Amino acid sequence: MTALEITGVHAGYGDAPVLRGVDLLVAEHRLVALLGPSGCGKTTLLRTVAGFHPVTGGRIRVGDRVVESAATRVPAHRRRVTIVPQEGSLFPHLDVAANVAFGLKGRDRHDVADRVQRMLELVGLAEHRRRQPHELSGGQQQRVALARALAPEPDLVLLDEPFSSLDAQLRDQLRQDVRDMLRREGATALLITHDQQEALSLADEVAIMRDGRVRQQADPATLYARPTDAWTARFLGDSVVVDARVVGAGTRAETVLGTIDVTGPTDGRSVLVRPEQLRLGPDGVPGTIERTVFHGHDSLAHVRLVDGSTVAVRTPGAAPGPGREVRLVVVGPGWLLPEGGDD
Amino acid sequence: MTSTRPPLPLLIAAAAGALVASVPLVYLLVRAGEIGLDTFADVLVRPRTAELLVSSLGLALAVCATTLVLGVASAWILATVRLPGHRWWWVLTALPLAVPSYVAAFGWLSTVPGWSGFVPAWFVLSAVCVPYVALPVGAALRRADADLALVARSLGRGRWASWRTGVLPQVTPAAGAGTLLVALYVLSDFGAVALLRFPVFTFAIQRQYGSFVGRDNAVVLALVLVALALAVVGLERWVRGRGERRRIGSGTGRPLSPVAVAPVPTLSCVAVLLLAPVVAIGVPVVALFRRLAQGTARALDPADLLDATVSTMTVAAGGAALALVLAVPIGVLAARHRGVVVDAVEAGGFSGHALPGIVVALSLVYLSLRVVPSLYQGMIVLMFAYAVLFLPKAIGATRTSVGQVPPALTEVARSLGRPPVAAHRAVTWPLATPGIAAGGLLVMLTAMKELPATLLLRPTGTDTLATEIWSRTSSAAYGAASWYALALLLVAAVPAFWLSRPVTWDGPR
Repeated sequence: MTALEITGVHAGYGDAPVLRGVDLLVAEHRLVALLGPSGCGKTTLLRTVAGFHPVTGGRIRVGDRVVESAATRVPAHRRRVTIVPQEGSLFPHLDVAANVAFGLKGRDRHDVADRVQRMLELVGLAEHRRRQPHELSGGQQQRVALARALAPEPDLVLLDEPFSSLDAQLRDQLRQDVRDMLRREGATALLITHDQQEALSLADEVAIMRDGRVRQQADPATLYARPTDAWTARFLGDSVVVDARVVGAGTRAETVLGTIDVTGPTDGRSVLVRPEQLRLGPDGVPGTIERTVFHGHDSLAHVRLVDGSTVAVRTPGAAPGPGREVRLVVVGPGWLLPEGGDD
Repeated sequence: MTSTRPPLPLLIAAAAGALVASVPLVYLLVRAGEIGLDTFADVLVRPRTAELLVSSLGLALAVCATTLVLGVASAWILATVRLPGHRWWWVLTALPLAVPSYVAAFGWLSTVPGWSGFVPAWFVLSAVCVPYVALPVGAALRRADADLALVARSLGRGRWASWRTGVLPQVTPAAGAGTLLVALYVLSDFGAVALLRFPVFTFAIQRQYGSFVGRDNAVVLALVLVALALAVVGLERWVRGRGERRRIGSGTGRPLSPVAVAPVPTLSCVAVLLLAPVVAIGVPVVALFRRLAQGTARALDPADLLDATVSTMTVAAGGAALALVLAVPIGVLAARHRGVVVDAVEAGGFSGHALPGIVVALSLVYLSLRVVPSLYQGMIVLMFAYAVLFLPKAIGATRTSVGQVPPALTEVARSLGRPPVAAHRAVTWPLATPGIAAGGLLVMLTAMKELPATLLLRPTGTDTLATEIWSRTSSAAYGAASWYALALLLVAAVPAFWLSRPVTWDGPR
């Protein structure tokens, strides 16, 4: 069943449109990442779903209820949509248990106690129930914020870049933990992020947003291998995009990298190859190493081809130094990018 | 995130508060409209008025110049010279704020009997006002990026030139705004100039009000004074606005750090720092105790002192409560919303900032006599005057306290099922209340020190500490006045000083 359905949503500030017809689906019990560069409108979209920003067109459905449309506007407190803000935003005057219990007002006392206990166990902070928020580390605060958002069993949890204020090591650990917690709780969640790694590594599905529209929504592997256009390809990671002339039945294409296997729309005029699909070796098209960037586990070598263009090649360990003559081959099929849609 | 459209009930409550706060100013204008143009012209062209203008502006300029030099010097010394007990030097520099000008004047008057005129008024007011410049400049210096001066030197500027280009521009706005606050203080001051017999506008207004034929004249003079004060407030806003635009970057530069200097310069620095506190507090407090030791012909009746203290606190508490009622909607509105209407409402609430106490009192006397004669000389009118005069403090406290509660918190509360009002009650209210209450307490303590409005509006037969000091200094019963002055310092001035400390030291936040 669909937990969240956003159809053709328009919204803006004053005369400036920010959302220009957003479509997005989140199935029940799934984690969808909404990924886009800053200023693309993802925060505004989150606020419209939560009920803090009005739409000027379109419709938002949560479960089987329309919460936002031209005719209806369900106030935020009746949407059963909870949020985990960027900085956690715990209530500073309440202890951990009271924060988690905040959304359980009106329930039976024992139910509340049980639920709070269960949530704190879920996020691994049961022994911290009487602490004040300022006594917790940043990561612990985010865990409490998640427990607080999950406690009332909402129809949807919105996570607004919840990991961006944490340092790198803590961030990786917490990301995986949060995904596990959401799964165990069977929650439906929409994660807002501008971090490609985060979106690809965590989400069941990723929606790419740009200029107030969702460009493409798919599972991470599909999205990475089969982006809808060159911009999306580049936004998701290092890319090699070269001109292509499709030959045969549309399964091969002539490129500056040689004649290679391709898939995708046969009207494509360019082809995407990821740097990890290029291998340095004894055979293949010749080129010269121009510069290399060393990452530890691998390197990215920029290779100048005979036609003067440059392509990126990922190689394990250190790459040969600048000036070295190399040859490269393409492993696996390239992805033909549909005509248009590029900038 | 600040939402742009305020909820209607809040806007109405805030606008009502702002309207009530502008009543004294509006009624003064209404009352002025009833005065014939000839009276206006008559008062304005009178040589006496020109004299008052020269005296008022002359005094304000002299005090401003003195406090500017002494205030910047004090702040600079505190920021750059390592002195033992560093924190306490800051407390000492701020301490003159605790002394009502008329208490300082009274202390000097009983030290140098018969001292009067421009020189003592300039002397006492300057000492009392130094913190208004020293504190904001000190705060600006602490925020200032010392690396700018180093960068300037590394680019080939000399020591003085790099100070001028690197440091000075960072403190100029604070110094300018502080100096204009001094000008406002001097123009509004009544106690010191009256005790020291230097005729300026406030003094003349009270005189004219006291004589039956002069009531129209008092209104005209009050209007001229308000015009001067408004001009100063306008200038202050402008200077501060320019200062804010000048600040760039994240402000995480390296601040100045105090360095040790040789004993002789250190001692002269200490002398500069001691100057204002000694003049404003040291000498007056010693004088008060000396008077007490000498004893008086008329012994002090402890019951009178207790009565005065209780009625002072009662009226002040009433004024503070009224101020809070008016201020909270305005403060909440200003903290959470932007726009022309919001700015106008906030400006209305701040009108007390530009209105000298004597002017508010004068307007309210006429208004109560005209509209509700039964209220004339009732407690409520005096409380109302306090509320209007010190409303800016209450608004500021509310605005800061509410502004420090992140809007994200109420959004989270709403997403967890609380309707808007309930969300504010559960989150914003408990978090902001301590700050708002402290603002109310500050209003009460400040009102306890107020003199000119209290003199004009106090109910017959009610004496407050301030009026008791005043009447006893007028009748030269200095010994008895000393008890009241010490009581006032003890119950109002020093607590108010401690309470306002964190805000004053770091400038408006």
